[in-house]
Amino acid sequence: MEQKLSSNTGTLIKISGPVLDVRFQPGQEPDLHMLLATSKEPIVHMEVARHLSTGVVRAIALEATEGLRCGMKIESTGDVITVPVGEPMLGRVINSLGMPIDGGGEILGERRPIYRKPPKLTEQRTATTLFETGIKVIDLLAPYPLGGKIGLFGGAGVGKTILIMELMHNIAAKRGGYSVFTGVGERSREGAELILDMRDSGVLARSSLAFGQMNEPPGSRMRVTMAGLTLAEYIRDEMHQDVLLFIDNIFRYVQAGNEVSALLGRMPSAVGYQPTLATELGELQERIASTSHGSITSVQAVYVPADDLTDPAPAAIFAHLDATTVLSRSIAEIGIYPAVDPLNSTSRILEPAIVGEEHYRIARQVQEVLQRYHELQDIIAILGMDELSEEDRLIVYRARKLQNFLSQPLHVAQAFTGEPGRYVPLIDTLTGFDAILKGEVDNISETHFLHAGTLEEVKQKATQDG
Amino acid sequence: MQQPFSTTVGDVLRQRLAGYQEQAILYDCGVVLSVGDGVLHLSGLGRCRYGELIAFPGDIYAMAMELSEEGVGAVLLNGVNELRVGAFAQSTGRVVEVPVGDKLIGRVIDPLGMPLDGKSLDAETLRPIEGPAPQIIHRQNVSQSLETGLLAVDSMIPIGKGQRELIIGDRQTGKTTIAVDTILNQKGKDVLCVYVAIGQKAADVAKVRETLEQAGAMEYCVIVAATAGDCAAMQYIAPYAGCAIAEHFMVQGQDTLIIYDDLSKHAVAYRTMSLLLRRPPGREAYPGDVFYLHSRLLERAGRLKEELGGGSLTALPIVETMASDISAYIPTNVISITDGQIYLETELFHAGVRPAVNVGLSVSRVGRAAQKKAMRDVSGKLRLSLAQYRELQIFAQFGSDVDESTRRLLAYGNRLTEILKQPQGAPYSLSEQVVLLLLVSGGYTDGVEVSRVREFGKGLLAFLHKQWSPGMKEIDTTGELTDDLRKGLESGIKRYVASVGQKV
Amino acid sequence: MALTGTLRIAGPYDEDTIRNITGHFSALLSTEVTFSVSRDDSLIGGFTAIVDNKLYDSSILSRLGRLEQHLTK
Repeated sequence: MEQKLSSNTGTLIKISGPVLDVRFQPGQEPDLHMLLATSKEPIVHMEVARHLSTGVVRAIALEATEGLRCGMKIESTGDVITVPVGEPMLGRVINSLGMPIDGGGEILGERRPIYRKPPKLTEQRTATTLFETGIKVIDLLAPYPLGGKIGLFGGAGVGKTILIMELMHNIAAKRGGYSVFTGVGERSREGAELILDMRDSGVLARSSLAFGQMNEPPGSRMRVTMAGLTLAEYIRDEMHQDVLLFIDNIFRYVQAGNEVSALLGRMPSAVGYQPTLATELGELQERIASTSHGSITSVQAVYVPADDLTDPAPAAIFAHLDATTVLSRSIAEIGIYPAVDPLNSTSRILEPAIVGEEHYRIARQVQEVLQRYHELQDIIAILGMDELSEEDRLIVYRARKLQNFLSQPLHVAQAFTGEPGRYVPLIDTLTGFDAILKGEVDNISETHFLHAGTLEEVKQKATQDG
Repeated sequence: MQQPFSTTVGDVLRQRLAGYQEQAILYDCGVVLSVGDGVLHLSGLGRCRYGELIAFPGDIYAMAMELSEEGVGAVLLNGVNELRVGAFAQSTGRVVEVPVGDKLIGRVIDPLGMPLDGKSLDAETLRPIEGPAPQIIHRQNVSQSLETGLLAVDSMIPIGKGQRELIIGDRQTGKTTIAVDTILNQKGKDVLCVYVAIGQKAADVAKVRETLEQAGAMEYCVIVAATAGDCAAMQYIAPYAGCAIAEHFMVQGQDTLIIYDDLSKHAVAYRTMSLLLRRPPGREAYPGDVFYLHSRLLERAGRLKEELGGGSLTALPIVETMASDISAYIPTNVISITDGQIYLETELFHAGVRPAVNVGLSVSRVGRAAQKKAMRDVSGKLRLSLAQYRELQIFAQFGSDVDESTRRLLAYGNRLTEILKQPQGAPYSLSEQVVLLLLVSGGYTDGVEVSRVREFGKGLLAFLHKQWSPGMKEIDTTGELTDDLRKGLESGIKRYVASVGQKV
Repeated sequence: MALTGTLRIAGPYDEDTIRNITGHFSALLSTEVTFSVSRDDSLIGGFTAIVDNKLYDSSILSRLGRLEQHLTK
């Protein structure tokens, strides 16, 4: 272990799952957030969470605590958790303790503590440029701001991680920028596959990764989030580069905090969450900022428990975001992928002053048509299409085409769908949707709009099928 | 004169005794200060480890869950109403472990390794029930299929070795049946199976065992049972014990399959334990770490790299929903952990669609990488077709004008739904599945009345097994549907259709 | 501080044996130890002593058990 050991030694006096109490000499209690460790097997790291009384600290274990016993000696490392940063981290993978887990040997060079203050108010820059993702539904209806915070919302099993990988693929491959990926509390299998995919597509060489997946105890999952953030901050502040920070999944950070909170003896708040939910989240989100040094554009996957967007965790996360992409189960059910909800996904930059009049008009019109179709669906279900007016029927036919055209084959989903992915430039997205709205392609059957890239492709498919 | 025989025995004994040291043994011990609801407070046991097994007279055991200078808090694993204050507690010096190894195959045991099938068990090795999941860099992609033998699953929700696929649905929707049928289908496929029963009725576990015995499946199966009558703590450790048993084989390069039946009851047992340990309740009164309860368990499944033996552990956890609510706390937790779910619906079950799989809400995240090539070739557009079929069903319900392509899709969807129905305990081989799918997708049943489609399919299979046996075998062994095979198959189908005539 | 403990001995025993054992433990724990003694033939031979939350198992029964385990490894 690279962390230096000081001579400050305490004794383990209480063990309750991942919560450990350690007694030091009065006056020698290590500071909050200090990293401690057992001195012999089983080697377990822990972080100071509270000073309980004179000489006694309460710590959260960052590894499993089976096998520990009272009376064991605990040593302070003399520092908080630190992670290696900068060039040596490119192409490397670390865990929440900043140790390499890719079998590539020790990572030399500078290390930074994972705790930092956010940039001062006066240093912060706001996001006002659109950056193209190549994904129609996003670029049209909820475009991403460069340097902003984007939330990917979706319940379980609707394609969130796949979309993150598609964004990494499109953005990193097209812009050649640096990426940091933080796996927080998600599947180890996905972590393994991501590393292989990133290696194959060449993106790994320009990325740094940190993983604290769902096999890890809650303390580890909480701290890995900050580890990833520290990697991105270094690229922004010291390397003066724009960086894409992916976090999959920010909800797990809150969830880990919840697991730990109860055992720390805090009273539960609404829906059983920790009373410190807002502040824990705020401390983290405020560091993901853009300054004059560079920008951190973050795409954060947000798991929505029980598909309930009013759950305190996703609700608190919303407040920090500049754009949201909401994935919907009902859209996935009818076979539309990516299953992005066109009426609930939003962006602060979808306004004429930033994206321009044309884009704004087309986006709003698409939403209006879809909204009307949504309203008409009950009538259709009960009375059938024949009961609608001529005008409404036209809206329905166009809406179904718009809905289908919003779907798109993704590069990273080729394994499932068998279809190669499509990157659609914004200009083609706007042209295509405008054409549908104007009725220029009313004659083409709606099924041809499904899983296509540009409108040209749709027209080609239609001609082929006769 | 030297007696060779006795010298040999003597030598062996001498050899074995060399290095054996005879000494008194020192055990940490203590005394029960209070007991109730399966929770104990003990004095002494100063060197007790977290998660350690504590022994009491009469083969009673408890697990240490709270350690402090004031004593030890433990949960009883058995003998709940038998201990009294003042009872003698002895530390075993080891965390909770379970016997593992070949001796377990064919046996029924409890999570501590005590046999439940009447015979003694003499296992060589013990393994701690808690352990780390395979590291990220030790894993390789899930790309080999694990066939359930169920057409609806293998065609559209394919499972791969090393995957975690959830089976979820209300009670009595056929969840256990799918799990058991999958075990039955592993016969001769070199996959070792572990069935973990948590909180089930003993009679139901006996029924599963009987089904497996009769099919000869116990030859490659281990059953770990903590029934409804067992302590909450015993039910809590059951899945971890089963996992350790399977893991032991996985790290030796073996492919293994584990069923957790079911994790809803597991969560309830953990809730009971936590509340009695006075740990604060969270959502739905479950403890805050109920996610970690299942995530650390299911993350231990996976597929190891070839350098580490290439073994795999596939997990099929079962979760029971209330009133089809898959958005409830435990179901969404487990869905967010697994690599997909097979969703069983009560309405489908009662409507005669069995297995009652709702294809729209079911998914396998590992996808087609885990399918044999022959299946991939014939099942490509299946999910999408069924999804569109379902949507069109509502749209066309009121007799509005449907165009030709829509009418065709509806007819196809109806027949497809029929052919996906399958009786219990009757798995289809790969070749049989390929045949049935080609039968419907090739339009050969367009003239057959929907209600006769299954019978038609059954007849076709019997015909092909007799008249085209080498072809069927080749598909099964190679996993591929070459152009020649496809041609041979299609001509076989045509011959059958001609011989039977498309009776409506 | 004086300690009390429980002593179970296999087979017939006399006062000398008890004094020996007690003396041994008093020296080991550096304090006066008093045992409540009982006979337990299931141990086959030897004794078990419980004192200061520790169980000292010096019985033939457990030695045989350990021997068996060792030989059948």
